[in-house]
Amino acid sequence: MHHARTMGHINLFAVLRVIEDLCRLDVVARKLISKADVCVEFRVRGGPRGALRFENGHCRFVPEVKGAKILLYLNSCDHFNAMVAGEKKPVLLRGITRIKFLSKEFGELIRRLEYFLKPAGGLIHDSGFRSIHTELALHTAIYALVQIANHDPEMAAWVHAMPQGAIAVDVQDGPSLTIVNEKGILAAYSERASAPRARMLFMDMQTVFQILSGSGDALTAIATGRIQLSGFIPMLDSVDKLLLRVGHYLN
Amino acid sequence: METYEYFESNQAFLRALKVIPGGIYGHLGPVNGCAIPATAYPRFASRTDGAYFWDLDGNRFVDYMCAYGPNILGYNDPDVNAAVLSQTRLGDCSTLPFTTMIDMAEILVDTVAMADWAFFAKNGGDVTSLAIMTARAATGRKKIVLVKGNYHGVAAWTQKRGSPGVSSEDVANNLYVDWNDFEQFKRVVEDNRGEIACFMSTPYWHPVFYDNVLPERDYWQKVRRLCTEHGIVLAIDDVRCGFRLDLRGSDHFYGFKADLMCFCKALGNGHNFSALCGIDSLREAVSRVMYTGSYWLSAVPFAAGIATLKKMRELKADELCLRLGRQLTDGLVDVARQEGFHLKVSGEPSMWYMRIADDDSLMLHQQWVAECVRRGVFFTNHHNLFINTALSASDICFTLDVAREAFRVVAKNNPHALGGGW
Repeated sequence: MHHARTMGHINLFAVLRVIEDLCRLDVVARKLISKADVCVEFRVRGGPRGALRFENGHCRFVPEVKGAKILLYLNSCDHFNAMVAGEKKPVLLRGITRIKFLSKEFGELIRRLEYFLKPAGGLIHDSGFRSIHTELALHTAIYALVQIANHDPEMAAWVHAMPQGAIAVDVQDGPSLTIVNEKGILAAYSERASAPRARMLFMDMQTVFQILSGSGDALTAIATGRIQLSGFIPMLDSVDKLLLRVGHYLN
Repeated sequence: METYEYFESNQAFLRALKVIPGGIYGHLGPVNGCAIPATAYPRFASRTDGAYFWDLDGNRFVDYMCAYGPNILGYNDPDVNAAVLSQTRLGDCSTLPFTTMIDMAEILVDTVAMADWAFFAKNGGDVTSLAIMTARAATGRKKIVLVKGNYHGVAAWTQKRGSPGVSSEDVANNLYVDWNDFEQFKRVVEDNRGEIACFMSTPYWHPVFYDNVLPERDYWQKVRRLCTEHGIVLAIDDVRCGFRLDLRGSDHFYGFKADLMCFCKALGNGHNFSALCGIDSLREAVSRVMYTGSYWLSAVPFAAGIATLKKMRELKADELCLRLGRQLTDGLVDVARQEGFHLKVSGEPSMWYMRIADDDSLMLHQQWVAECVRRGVFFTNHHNLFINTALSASDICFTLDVAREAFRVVAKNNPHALGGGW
């Protein structure tokens, strides 16, 4: 069962956050923001708050922002979640003069994100497409995992039991992410951990794709060495349970 | 020393993956976190004998997992085998139980100090669940107190909220306390006065991945008194420790008397059955609980259990396992020190836990254990290990030789770790 507040945090800090990765990986997205100099803030009553800053051809997600040129207000987590699902509109509190960016470039970015995260037809068989899809899906899943840990009451026992420290999520010859547990609050970063206490190593992007798409199972991948675990395994055990929960929210 | 290869094991595992979820599921499989890296471990056994098992590739291992506890007299023990064969000729699973069931109950009640009766099932989890139901039946109360990190099986009530297949309601009546913290337990009892049916714990704290912790002085005596004062059933999960600390029960070993005791593992030297033992005042309650299973009264495991208990008594298996464990662990710590490592041993010596200290990621320990396994000494990384009475002095010497070479390999592969922290 979904918890609306947790879903709201996932939508902002995991789904919309990966627009920064989309703009890094996808030529079309990069071109869309090449001349943008604007910050789009989302403010959800009783829920999350954060912004996407576009400048110098890059996009960066920032949790704290002041004076964003565009401010979109959502009166509840349900409202925000419905907006992300394309069912409701936000309230534009600031940035009426930037409405062209919102409706054109930003709207196109959202469609581009959906294009990669929810692939249609046979697109997934194209290796270039699959590579971007998989990397975005990996980032989304890890970022979502952190939100579930921090907000979903169903998973409190697992978070409470999770030892502190850094966990490396690495893909051989591919991207790396770091999950940090500091006093029961989790955070995720798109960077390689320098001294992780536990490590989950995917041997290739194909394995990541199979696990995240559900076309392969994690236990078989571990058993056959396509995922290698090392270090303080109770940390990875909690990550595993949280990842299962990600599937419930995002599928 | 030669290092092992697992070609046949791996081929068999690929077969298994096609028809069995996870290939080998649960604690014997490569995924549960106690076999790292998975490639260092064999997957299937071809035969067992005494203190050893052989894998499909013909590699022999000195087995310090003992099937995760059941093997206490050594695999293929001739006395147990003879009893099994004899009962097999007469029958096993039948419409009526054989009187071997009574014989088994009599010898168990005679051996275990607190026991007035014995109730049989198959797995450890069967009897931990029965203990909880019995306590609830006896007290009319719902809540139970458990110690964080303890393992009592796989039933939904034993697992964490948020685990796959577990609902919030499954664990809604569980209260948790820290091990050895009597004051905390006392507060929980006071905050839930008249509502707690049972306090269940293992006799000492032996979770995976953490140094094991023995009970503090008077801890159990204070718990016993408080449970008696508040009408709480004190149930000891002796499934893992049972008969490796004290044949009369681990409560006896630590100087108190439990109301219910759960046994399995070593009870039949690998033949499958479990037992809940209890005091007279709980006889009526346990008999009121609807609890049974198709194979629970089969005669062959009871025959094995009788032979096992008789032989354990003759050998004083508890004292022997503790002594052998002490010899081995003292030796391992010495070898580690000589090679520049700090090996920390905790728990009771007959089922000790160990880790290379000063590395909180445990990665060095995982490397060392993997090198031991590849040379024929079967440890797992982060579970307590087990001693059996078939272990010989030459097995211990062999183990220490392997351990030494494994430390040297780890040292060579991690010069920075040795230079920095030891």
